[in-house]
Amino acid sequence: MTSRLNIIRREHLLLAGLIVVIAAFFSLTTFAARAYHRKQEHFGEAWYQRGEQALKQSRPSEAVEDFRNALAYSHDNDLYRLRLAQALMADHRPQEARSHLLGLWEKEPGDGTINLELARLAAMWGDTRQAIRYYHAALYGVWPDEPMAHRWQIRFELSEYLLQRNTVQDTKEAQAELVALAAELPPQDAAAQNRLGTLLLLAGLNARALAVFRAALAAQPNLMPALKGASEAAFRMGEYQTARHYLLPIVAQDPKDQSSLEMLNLCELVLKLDPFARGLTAREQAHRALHDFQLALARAQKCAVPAAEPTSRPASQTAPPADDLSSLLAQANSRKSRVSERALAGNPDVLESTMDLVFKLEKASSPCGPAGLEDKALGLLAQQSEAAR
Amino acid sequence: MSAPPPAANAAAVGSVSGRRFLGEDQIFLLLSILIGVLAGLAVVCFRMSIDALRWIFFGSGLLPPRQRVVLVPGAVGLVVAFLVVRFFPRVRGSGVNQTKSALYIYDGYIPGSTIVGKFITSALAIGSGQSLGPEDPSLQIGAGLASLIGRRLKLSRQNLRLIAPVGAAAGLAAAFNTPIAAVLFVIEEVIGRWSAGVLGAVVLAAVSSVVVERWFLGAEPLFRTPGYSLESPGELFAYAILGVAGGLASMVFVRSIKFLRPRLRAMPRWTQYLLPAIAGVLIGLIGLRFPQVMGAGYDYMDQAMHDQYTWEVLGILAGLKILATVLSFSSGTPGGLFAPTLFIGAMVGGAVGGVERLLFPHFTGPQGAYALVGMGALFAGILRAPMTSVFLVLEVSGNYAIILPVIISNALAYLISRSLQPTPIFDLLSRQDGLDLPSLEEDREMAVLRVEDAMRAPTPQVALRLEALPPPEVLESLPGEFFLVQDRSGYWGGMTKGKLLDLASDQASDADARVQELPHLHPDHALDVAMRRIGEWPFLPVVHRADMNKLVGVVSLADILETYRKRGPALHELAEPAD
Repeated sequence: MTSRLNIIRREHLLLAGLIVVIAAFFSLTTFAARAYHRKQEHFGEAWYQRGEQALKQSRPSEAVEDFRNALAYSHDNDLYRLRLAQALMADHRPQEARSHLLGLWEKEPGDGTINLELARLAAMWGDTRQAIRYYHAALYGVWPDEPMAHRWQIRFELSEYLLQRNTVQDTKEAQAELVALAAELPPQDAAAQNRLGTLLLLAGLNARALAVFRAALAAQPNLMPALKGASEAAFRMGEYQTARHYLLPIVAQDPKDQSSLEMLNLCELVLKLDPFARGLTAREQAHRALHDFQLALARAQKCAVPAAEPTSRPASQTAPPADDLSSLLAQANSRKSRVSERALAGNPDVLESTMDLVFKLEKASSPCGPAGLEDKALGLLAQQSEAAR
Repeated sequence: MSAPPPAANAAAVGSVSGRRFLGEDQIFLLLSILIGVLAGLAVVCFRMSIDALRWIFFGSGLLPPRQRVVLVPGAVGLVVAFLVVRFFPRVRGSGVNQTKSALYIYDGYIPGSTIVGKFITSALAIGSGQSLGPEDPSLQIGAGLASLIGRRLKLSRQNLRLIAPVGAAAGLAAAFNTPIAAVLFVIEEVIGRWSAGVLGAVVLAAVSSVVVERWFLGAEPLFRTPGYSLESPGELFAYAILGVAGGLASMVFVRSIKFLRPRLRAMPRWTQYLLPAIAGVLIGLIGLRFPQVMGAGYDYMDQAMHDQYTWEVLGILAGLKILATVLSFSSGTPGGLFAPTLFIGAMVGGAVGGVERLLFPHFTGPQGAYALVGMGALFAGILRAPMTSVFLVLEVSGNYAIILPVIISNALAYLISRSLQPTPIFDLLSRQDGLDLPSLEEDREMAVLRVEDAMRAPTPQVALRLEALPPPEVLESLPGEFFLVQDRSGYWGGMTKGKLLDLASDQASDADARVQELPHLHPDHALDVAMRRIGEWPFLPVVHRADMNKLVGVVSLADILETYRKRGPALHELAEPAD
């Protein structure tokens, strides 16, 4: 009995001793592990900061090494891995970046930043379908800070990407994104409104562009790009009075801006030559129509003459089909004797048919080379008339 | 390894007869958990020490400062060599064979000094950039701790033998953070057999050590692998090519060690003080241009998995890592082969993936997946533990989608390596060390002799039916004194000739008509089962498994011995190749 008790006591003692040893070892390891992790965190953070610094100073290859070092101390740190991927992209190493991003995406498929970076990669590789998928995932993804601002930026980026592709389908998709963006953007953010207006112009949504530029100008009245955008949008829409309204301050501010100046002159000429402008008396209408007729006839005649003098025209410019121009010229010449201010003022139908002939002459003469400003203005009026019809 | 001190043996043997409050089996299981915890703690400290030494030697960046790349491995190599030659001669090599030696030769005895020596010298070697890994030393540290505890608790000789592999599993599991692979490796490569008791202990130890490791070092897998999915079955062909490449690379690696290690060991004793340093300097010279080959290289494996290198660089790194590891290991520097194996595999895999992507861009998956599969292929090819290699890849990556490519690639690498280099690396090393440890791969491959190979067809001379006994004069004329007899219920038992004659001449009662119960055999039983069951019986019945009343054969001791004599392994098969 005594010997059995001794055995039991000995076993208990040995096991208890072992547990005490393990407990002591555990405490020591805990102490050492804390110090170890502190050191790791310190190294990781130091390398991360170095990487951030290098990235800010546009030294992406150094940043890559720094972020790799940081990651070595914290394999599971998604921020370090993301920054490494971004540094790799900045260092033009998309394949390597993609691999890290895919790893992150698997872990956080709804993360906005990761999806955005993957979208950029897919866009870089021309994989439109994937790019759009990732852009949309980024758009509706999780953004811990300023989610709306991120979403606006993504819509901008996606729209720019789609417009760059310049296909009908992509342009349509870009238009949809931009319309959605127009509804989301705060009107007081002039810079964002201006950027949106520019993209709307590129997407061919001129009316929306004009409205957006107006909003930008309401927030910041003298914002030059918005003024230019608004004038461009109005010009494209044939609203020359509006375009002139926006062009005047531009030219006043920068008289050397040739393109704006030319556009302004063109607008003023259009406004001056348009016989159908509102508020004109019949006499004024007739006066303008007669002037337009003479202009168009002169250009057509000039255009027709070089057929006999081929050397006077650049080789690249071919004469319009002789039949069209010559028949139109014949019509114009026969009408020339009958067209007068009085005849035009007394009969709106004659005025209208005369202007119709003017527009046809301008159109037929267009292949003859660069027109003068007045002819350009007539061309614009012709376009407007055609569009109205 | 020297023999254990007599006291240890005596204590172990002496306790066999002792009665215990808890049964020894229960104590064994309880100890497995405690050993797991202890081994886990030791491995955590070991890994932290390696990192700390690396920071001291090379600073905190992944790329070491150039001026230290050659100097540090050389100088630390001298220190390691001094410690190994003077104080810890048993810590050379990886540690797997030492654990097997403890199991098969030294009754589970691993000296305490080996644990300390392995810890210090391996940490110094790996931390200073020698191309070796921490897993095999962790395995040996775990085994050593288990052995130490087993001796203190005076376990029986049998349990003391088994406790070392239990500790080994715990050490390996903590080192890799892979409990399943560790259990499989120890079963597949160290113990070589599955039994409920051993398996339970090994699993408990592995799980408890992994829990401890995760508590201190985090639960994330060793690698963060990019997403993978098999796009088309044709991709598997590409992975099969990787398996072939892995098999060839394994052969190169093993043959290089086979060539260099015995030559370096045969050099004069004083050179042992210099060899690790020379290996360190050479590795440092490689490291000047390719620092990736220094140390265990897990961070670079991670980079390879994230497409950070071109296939050309990956190919160069694979070749240089083979060279560096062969140098480090053959020089006698303590450290493991697991991490270098995985490194070479990752690089070979990435390189093969890169080439295949160039040739068949629509046919191949991400390069990272190839790197991952390559790890498994080299593990199967070099360490020749095919099951472990599959589970290891799954566990270190946490990616189960990759299992099909892993299985295909590993199987091919294993088969090619086996055909080109028949002796597995651990067997090769043990034979180079003059130890005759059992080759578990050879055991697995050895054909098992079965009862059907030895049995004879039942003839009326030995097998009779009680319901149709021949007349007494016929019985009298039959040779032998003992017969197999089927009773009225159909059961095949035994009966002596005298009793049969009584029955045949109606001189016996019904009670006397009962046959003697005999152990039964089935045709598929291993022949050693028959050997154990036959006892004093002249022969045993071999009955059908689905119909126990159907006698399909008879087997006698003479039949068994004759079969062993004729069909057992020939002497030349038993003779092991000298290296």
